[in-house]
Amino acid sequence: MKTFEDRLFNIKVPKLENDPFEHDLRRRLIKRFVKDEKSYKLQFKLATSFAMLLAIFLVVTIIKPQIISDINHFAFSTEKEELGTPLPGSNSIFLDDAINYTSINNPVISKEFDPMKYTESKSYIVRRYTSENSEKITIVSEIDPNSRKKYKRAY
Amino acid sequence: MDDKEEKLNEEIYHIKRAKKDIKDFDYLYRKYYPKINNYVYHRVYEDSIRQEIVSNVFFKAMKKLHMFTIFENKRSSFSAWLFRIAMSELNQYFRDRKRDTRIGNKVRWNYLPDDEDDIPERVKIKFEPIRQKMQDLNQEEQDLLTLRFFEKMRYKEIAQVYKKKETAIKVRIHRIMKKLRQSLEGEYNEDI
Repeated sequence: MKTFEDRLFNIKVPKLENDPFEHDLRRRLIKRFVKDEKSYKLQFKLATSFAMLLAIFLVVTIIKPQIISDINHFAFSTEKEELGTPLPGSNSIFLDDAINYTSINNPVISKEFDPMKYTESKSYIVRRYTSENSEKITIVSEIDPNSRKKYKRAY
Repeated sequence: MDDKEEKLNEEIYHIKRAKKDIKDFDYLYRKYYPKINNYVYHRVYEDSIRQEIVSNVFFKAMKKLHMFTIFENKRSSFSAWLFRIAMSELNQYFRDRKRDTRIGNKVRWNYLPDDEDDIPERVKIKFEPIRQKMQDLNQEEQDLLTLRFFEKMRYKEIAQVYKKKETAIKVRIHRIMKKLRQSLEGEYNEDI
């Protein structure tokens, strides 16, 4: 068996040498892996830079919210809006504190009774309209307490 | 440090570098392409199929290089890992195209040069009849004989490819040789 093994081991075996496919395959591998890697690296760098820019912008908007309005003004030449100004039609809510005199806490009338004994059960808005002929219409509107709560929560 | 160990360390160095930058795989490609190419060449017959299999081996090797781990005791060689990929690709091919293997055998190997004058008379066994008879063996047996006698790999290297003990591989190859010798009886007039 040893002789047979020796003979097998010494068989002249055909070999492929200088195979042109070696270079062809090498080119394909470089194209597939090396060039792809380059493009992936470039894409990764671009994505990272963009993400960093967004993160900086986010931080700036948190620290200085006014910048959003400035950018909007710069881009579209719109009027600057001051943050904290009430929305149109919502004046009554902001006026609520200013016209405290309409409430039971009015210092002029509160001398007559103890305001702490009373709770506000209903609120009304009274509006008067006058025509050109001096005809007057007065509208008394009851304020829905639920909608008032909603407005307060929103601000 | 002997020459062999130095080469192994150089290879490990290039593997580590290739893991970081795939361009360094070129060293490994140049070193192992001829070995893998010849191994596949000895197992399949059509050039297009050989090229496809060799391509798959290197594409997979590059893609999965990060999964190859170098053990501290250097038992896991890169060569064995590549041969395992090649074997897996070949097995896949043979599973897919079982019917084609025999047809190929009839048309191949006739070009083998006959300039074997430098080989001593006592070892003159022709490649072609051996290769023909090997077709009667199963795929694993053919793989083992190819690695040992065509690729001239040591038992230790084959054991690494199969992740088995060297002695187990020796016994296995010995049994396959016995089988092959029996099938060759009658082909040669003299006792082989």
